[in-house]
Amino acid sequence: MRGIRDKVAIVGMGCTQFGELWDKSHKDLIVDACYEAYEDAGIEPKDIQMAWYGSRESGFTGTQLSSALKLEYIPISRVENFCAGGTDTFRNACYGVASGACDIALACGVEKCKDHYGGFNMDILDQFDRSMVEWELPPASQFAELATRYFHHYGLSFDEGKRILGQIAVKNHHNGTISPKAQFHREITLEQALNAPMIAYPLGLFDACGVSDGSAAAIITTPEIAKGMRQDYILVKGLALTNGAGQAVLQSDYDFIHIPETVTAGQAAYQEAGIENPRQEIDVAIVHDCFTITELLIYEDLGFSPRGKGPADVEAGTFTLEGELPVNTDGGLKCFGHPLSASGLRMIYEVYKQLQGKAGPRQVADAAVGLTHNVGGINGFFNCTVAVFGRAD
Amino acid sequence: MGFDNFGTVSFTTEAKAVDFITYLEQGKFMTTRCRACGTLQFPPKMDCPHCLSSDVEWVEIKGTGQLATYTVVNYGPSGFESEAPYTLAVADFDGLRVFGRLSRDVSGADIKVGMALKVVSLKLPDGKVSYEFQPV
Repeated sequence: MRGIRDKVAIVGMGCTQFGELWDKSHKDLIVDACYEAYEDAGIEPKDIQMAWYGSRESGFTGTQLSSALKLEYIPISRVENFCAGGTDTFRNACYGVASGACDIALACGVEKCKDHYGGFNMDILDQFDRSMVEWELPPASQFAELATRYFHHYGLSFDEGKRILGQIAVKNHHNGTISPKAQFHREITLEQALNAPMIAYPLGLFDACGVSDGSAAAIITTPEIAKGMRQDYILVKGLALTNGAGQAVLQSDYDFIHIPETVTAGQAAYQEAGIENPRQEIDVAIVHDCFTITELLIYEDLGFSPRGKGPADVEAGTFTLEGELPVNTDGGLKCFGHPLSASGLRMIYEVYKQLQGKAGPRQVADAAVGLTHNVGGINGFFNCTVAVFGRAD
Repeated sequence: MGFDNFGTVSFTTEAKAVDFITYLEQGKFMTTRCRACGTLQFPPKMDCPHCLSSDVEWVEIKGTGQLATYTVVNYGPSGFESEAPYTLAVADFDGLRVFGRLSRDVSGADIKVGMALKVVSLKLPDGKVSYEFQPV
């Protein structure tokens, strides 16, 4: 495959405040995110030639975006890919530009989770290849099963395992305090994390991300056009999407200590981007910490840590803002919540700002290569996106 | 009766694997094996995901399995709220992974990954059928 490395550039991005936004409709959020992106790119709405709209809960068809933004008679596709919907919306827009079908494209993801079912509900079961006997699958339970098995496999006691997961929550909450657009801005202590009510054993309240509303958007174009727009445009280096086929869900070789979709998406994105040693080559990573155990598995599945060594890297502070490879510098899903189709573009927004050197108190020194990652679904049925970005210089 | 007679919440009334319920009503916990390639499946599947053959037979899951992983659900989803807390488990029966609930008779530190389990059919108080894991 030829891939799209260095064929697409981000020239503008926008991101709304995330949180309980009872006074804003999904179209209000679209307008806020996209007009920040227009302003950042220095373009007018009429410059948008094609658009992609990501949403699961917040409206069908591309007309949600065209009516909110008054984009008249341009092609707009609606993209839905569960927790990976935001990045997949961006991915489709990138392919539109890379193919030459358009020069300037808009990708916007939005979700109103608080007033659509309060987040997830039983309808989540309808989204998968239900067997009629796979009952009761709320997300926390799915990821809790991974945590239980991970602790068992690597000989971690409940207390040892919880202390590792708790440190991930403490780190992300700290980063949230310096991330103005996040939903949560308070520090938590390890003791608070450890003593929080249990949601799905062994995962407690602070092991879970919040539920919020939000939107984020990107303006993309070719590198040739980008050069005439701004000096600090950001290049797409690799974009991968993998989907489980249900093949692993209840088979004996499913080990519950890694997520195969993350491994395969990571390998594909690294190949396209030319990344050989992710721990050394990636400067900042924004990953899908829907639960703390998910972030721990991601360290290993994306090659940041050797198998089984994620906990040691957590103890060493490897992934803190000051660490060797800062992860979730903006507070992650832990502090932003997870409006499904907005999250991926929110993550790209943070990487974009980091690579431009505009991340303020969260800035990672000399960040030149950034990564985003989303994983959604249930064991055996995950869909996963990994994206790698780089500076133009 | 079919799948509308299954579990706390029935997710369907129609399914090709409806004999699963008929067997549960008879007190048997059965699943499917592909006659063409010999692969066992759970949940039962009338079309083999391994070789795509539709020539499958019903076999009983007997004997002792091991607990592979579990979680205790403290906040149940819609329809299950009043049942929490309950334990969801994945157990390994000779390479066949079976998903279900663990008996309420086992809780806390008594639940251990690797513990020996059997699977039994259940009659719920409202007359519906289900199944659960019980320690051996």
